[in-house]
Amino acid sequence: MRRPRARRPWGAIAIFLGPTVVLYAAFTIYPVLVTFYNSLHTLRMDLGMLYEYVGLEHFREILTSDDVFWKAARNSLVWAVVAPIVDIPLALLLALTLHARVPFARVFRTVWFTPVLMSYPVVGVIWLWVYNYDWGIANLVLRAVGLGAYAQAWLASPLTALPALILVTTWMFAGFNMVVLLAAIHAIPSDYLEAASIDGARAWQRTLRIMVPLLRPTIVNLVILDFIGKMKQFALVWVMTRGGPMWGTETVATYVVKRAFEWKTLDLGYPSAIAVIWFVIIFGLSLGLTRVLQRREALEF
Amino acid sequence: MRRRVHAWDVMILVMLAAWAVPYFWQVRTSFTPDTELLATGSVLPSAPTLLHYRAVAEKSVMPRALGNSVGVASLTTLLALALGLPAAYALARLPIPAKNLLLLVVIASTAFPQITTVSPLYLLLRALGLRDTWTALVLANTSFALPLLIWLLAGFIREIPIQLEEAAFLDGAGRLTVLRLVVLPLVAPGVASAALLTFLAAWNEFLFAYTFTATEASRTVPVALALFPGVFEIPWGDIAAASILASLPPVVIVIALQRWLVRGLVAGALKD
Repeated sequence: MRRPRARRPWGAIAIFLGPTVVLYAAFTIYPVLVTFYNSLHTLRMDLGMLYEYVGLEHFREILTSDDVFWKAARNSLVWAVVAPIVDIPLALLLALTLHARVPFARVFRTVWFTPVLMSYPVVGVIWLWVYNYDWGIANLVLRAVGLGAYAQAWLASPLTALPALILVTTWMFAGFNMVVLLAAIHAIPSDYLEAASIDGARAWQRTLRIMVPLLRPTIVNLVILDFIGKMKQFALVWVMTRGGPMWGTETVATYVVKRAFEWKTLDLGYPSAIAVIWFVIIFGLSLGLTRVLQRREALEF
Repeated sequence: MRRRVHAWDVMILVMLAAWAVPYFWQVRTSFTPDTELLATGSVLPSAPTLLHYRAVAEKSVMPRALGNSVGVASLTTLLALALGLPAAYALARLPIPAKNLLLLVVIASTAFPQITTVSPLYLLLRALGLRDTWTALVLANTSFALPLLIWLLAGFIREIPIQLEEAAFLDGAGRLTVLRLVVLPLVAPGVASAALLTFLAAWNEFLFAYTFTATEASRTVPVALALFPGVFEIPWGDIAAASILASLPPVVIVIALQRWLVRGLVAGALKD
């Protein structure tokens, strides 16, 4: 239907796309390129940003002898793998529950969805109270039911701190995932489910065999979004534990920020190299994940 | 069947209760006098107090931070829409060379970790004399928000039948007129949801705000909250009151505009 155009409307393209390209180039692409460049140098901030070329030296040091980096990478990966496994099935369960016409569905949806709107520092502060040793709700409940022996400073032990933070992000994001899944469930044509029930399928069969497969594209996208989000985790850790105890909750993002702005190492090259490594890993893993998860995706409606 | 329904009901109530407990604790802490906080005997404060709210309103940086957050998030949303809407239209409708590659870059950049840009961006903004200003945060946030915004809007624009625009062209309208009078009204709901998402992202943004600000002149709510002063002991009650004030604006906005937000979320998560 489109009219053939003799030549490209360069004027219109420039006017419509130009300002965005300029802004994005200046404030995103340029900094990313600088980070790549910096990762091959040592930058002495104390000597007026003196650049010294070191080649791949930073990368060698990070990958072979930086224990903190490996701890941070392990924590970030654990978070990024565990969170979707917990979050998405839970969100699916919540969505299916609300879909089954329960009373006050609107209230439930709002209560579950609100945490994602409150920003990480607010959520972090709230959960500091939940985990507080003396008067936090977690320990109060344990003591009340006679399990006081298990009461502990949840964020002070390297064993419990990371799981405790992962639980916080589950609390924060389950509602978001649920709302998206709920909308996708509503988009399923009702004839599919009616046809199945005419064929004698029970409610749980309709859910498992028909709804879940039809929701697969949405689920895959949510898993990938969740994965990427957790790989980049910064603010919650910064507010709640600062990466402690003993690097038990250090993520790659918090480590980069510490090396760049807090440790006074006066070198921007090294954290830039960590950022580059992590950038490549996130891209590679999310592309791979997309490939694997979307392979069997043939259902269309 | 009856028993099953019963089990569902119980599960829902348990989940609801579990989800609401942290809010409840937040509200409870904000109304409890400091002296009573550590006494774990009662769940509710014996004498609820507004002292914490008064302290936050009168003596803390929170009112200033709320102003900064509203300003930065609103300006970010306006700038992102002003830039993103024409760009999305161009990507949806104009014969741009290497368009698919461009769209791929747009999608891929939503996976950018902020840590790859934050330190050069800091130096750039400092060189431009923009450190500790609203402008710095608006520019950085807008740039970061643009890929998702453009991607969403381009999707919405593609859903409009192109014949409407072609009819307007035949009547002699220019491209800007068509964008303003034909496209914009038709994608208004999509624009609203994209704007809402951008606003929320800017409101909640932490790393840029933490790094590029230095004083209360530009510190936003999340940063002010993270840096809440506790010189000798942590002022839990004040922090609770501040955190409630801090989360009210986005929560109210979203509950009021729920329909549009859900539309944007679904578009973002469903499309490939």
